[in-house]
Amino acid sequence: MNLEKYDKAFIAAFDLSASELNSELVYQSIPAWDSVGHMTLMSMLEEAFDIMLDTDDIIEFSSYEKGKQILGKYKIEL
Amino acid sequence: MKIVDAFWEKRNLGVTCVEVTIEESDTVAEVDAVLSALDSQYQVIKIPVGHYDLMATVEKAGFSFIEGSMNVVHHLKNIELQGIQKRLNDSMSYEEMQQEDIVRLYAEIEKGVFVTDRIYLDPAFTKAQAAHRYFNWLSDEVKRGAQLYKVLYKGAPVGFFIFKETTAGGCYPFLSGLYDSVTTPGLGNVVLHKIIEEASRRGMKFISSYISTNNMPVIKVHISEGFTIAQVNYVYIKHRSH
Repeated sequence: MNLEKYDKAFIAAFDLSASELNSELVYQSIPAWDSVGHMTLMSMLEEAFDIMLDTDDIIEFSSYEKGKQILGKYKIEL
Repeated sequence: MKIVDAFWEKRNLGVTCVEVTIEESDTVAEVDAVLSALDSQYQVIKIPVGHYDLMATVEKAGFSFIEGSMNVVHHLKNIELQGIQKRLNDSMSYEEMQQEDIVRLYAEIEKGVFVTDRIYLDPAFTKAQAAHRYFNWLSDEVKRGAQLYKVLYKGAPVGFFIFKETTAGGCYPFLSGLYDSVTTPGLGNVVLHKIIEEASRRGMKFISSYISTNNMPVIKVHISEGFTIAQVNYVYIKHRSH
């Protein structure tokens, strides 16, 4: 359930297909994941999981996989 | 039509250079006559959008399209951020650079922070020439009174901007960036917003800046921060060996 919400945020923020969500998806690896796209993704994740991300976590959220670790700090298991 | 002898490019790039800015009222015949008389090694032509006849004329004369140059403006109204953008922005500060910060900025520029401008992308020039051109440009503007700022997160510099007031109550932040954009996601907006804050603090009426259509992330950041597009010019170039 949580993973589905996590994936949906990426798909909506970057207009991706599910098959593109993998360990190679990192910041700036696709045109849509730039500075503006990053903030869209962060907003969507905050809304989806009803959390408030710490600024350190916003800046360190550098990949699809890294994001899973970061959400773990908010007791969200993926 | 404005014709400028860009003599500073001899120092920057090692070539003679002319920059021609075509205006709405210029005719094909007038442009054709000017182009045929140019003899600089590096020739730059700027054409306002919507003039296919002029675009065809410069292409026929051997010029190649290299970028669109967008003049973007912010009138400094409604600059308050909301939500996550505000939290991120509030966690960062900015202050004027000290000598050691300036040394670092110059070093970063020499390494190649800017990779989308028409010099960097032009195979006739080297990456080192592109960086050196920025270095000289920045040095000149600082001598003319531009001020250098660093953007800080938890005390560490993550980005920079150069602030220059213009005579009409506005400012021209001609250079800004992140020291490491790859490892600091989301900070492009913060650096631009700090420029807006500084302009507002000084009581400026507007910010006017130029961005390249080759740099999509920067275009998106400007739009998301409330800039509007005032004008777009197509930029064409030609190299001529002597």
